Amino acid sequence: MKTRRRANKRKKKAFFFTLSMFLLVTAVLSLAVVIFHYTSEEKIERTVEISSLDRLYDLSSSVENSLLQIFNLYSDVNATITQNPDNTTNVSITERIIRKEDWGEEFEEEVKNFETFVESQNENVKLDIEVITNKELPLTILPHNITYSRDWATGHPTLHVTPETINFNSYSIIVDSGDVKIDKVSSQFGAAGSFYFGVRAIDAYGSDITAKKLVDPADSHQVQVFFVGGNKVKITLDNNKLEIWTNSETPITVITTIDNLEKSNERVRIGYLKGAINVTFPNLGVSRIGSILID
Amino acid sequence: MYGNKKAFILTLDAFLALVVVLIALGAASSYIARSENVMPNIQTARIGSDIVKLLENTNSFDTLDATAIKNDIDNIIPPNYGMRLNISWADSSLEKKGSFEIGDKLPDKKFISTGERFFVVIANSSLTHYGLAKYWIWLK
Repeated sequence: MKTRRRANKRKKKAFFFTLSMFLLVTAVLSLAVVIFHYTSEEKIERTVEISSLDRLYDLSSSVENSLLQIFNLYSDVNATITQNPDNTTNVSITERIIRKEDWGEEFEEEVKNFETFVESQNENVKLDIEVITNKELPLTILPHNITYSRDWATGHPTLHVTPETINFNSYSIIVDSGDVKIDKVSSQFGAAGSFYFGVRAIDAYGSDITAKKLVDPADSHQVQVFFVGGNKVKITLDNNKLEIWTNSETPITVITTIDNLEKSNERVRIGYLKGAINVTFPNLGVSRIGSILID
Repeated sequence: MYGNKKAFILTLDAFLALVVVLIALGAASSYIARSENVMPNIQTARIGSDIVKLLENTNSFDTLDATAIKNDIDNIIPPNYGMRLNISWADSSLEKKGSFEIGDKLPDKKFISTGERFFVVIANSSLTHYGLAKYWIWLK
């Protein structure tokens, strides 16, 4: 009787042991299936996100690239950045300036047509045409936030260089008048200092005149290049800002160089059209505001 | 007699355990088989984007010629990928417009990645056309 009761007890124990093992294995398996299910769903979501972002970037960068090509072709502005051995940077911007009323019309027309084409082909892309066709062509030297722009009041072009701080040590300007003969160069320098301000005037007839001085950039200084016939290029450095003005009816090439920009952690770039390109995919929930880096 | 019964029960128990294990393995492998490996899809999208960028950077689009562009695609596309390309263009005055489509036929029931790139055509230092290249790419 006692032995039988003991055997029954053992059978019960074995049964509960098997049942508990079975339940444990089932729980582990179910948990594994649930985790696997959620992970694979998440993987698909991530893929959609990555693909959407890639697609958005491709579209936006292609618009930026096209606008950059239009800019290079029609803006008459050329920028170069040179790294010095001491890790400082020189930025040179070359452009041809001339007194005329219709400056930039071809550029504006090409950009407007490009905008019409882009927006007709893809409603997700919006271009801010007012920023793009801004005749001031404001370029920003990044990360130093030095603005290079122009205005065109009454047909006389003025180039402006406006730094946030003086973290460079010179403005060097080359005025190449080509076939327009230089008559004379006059200069009027204010307070002396350690900042180099130099203007070199050259023409196709062999003239090569340089007016230069170490000055205080916060004071006022002016160099004027007079051409035969009375027109001129006037270069003014006043309160750290540089202005180059002309009334010449023949194109004058002006190379403006900002020398020895302090080294920074970021690479020096020249930006244009900040925030003018907006690409949004509402159904994918992603958007990108693009700018153009011209160098 | 008692020994035979015990052996039968043990065999039955082992058989039932095997059935449970097989069901569990079957369920797991069917889940694994059903879950899609997404990496080739991302790879497909990247290859499509690279091909179109390459065509743009090598000025292939500047020809606006279906045969020339098709030849360029055939030269660069990996053999296990299929691709279809639609080019829409307008001249710089937006007066003349056109489009053409080249490449393989779109497959059914396959992952197809799509994308698009705008481009401009420049000839003799002058902008002549604006264009848009739309592409579809898939693993054959």
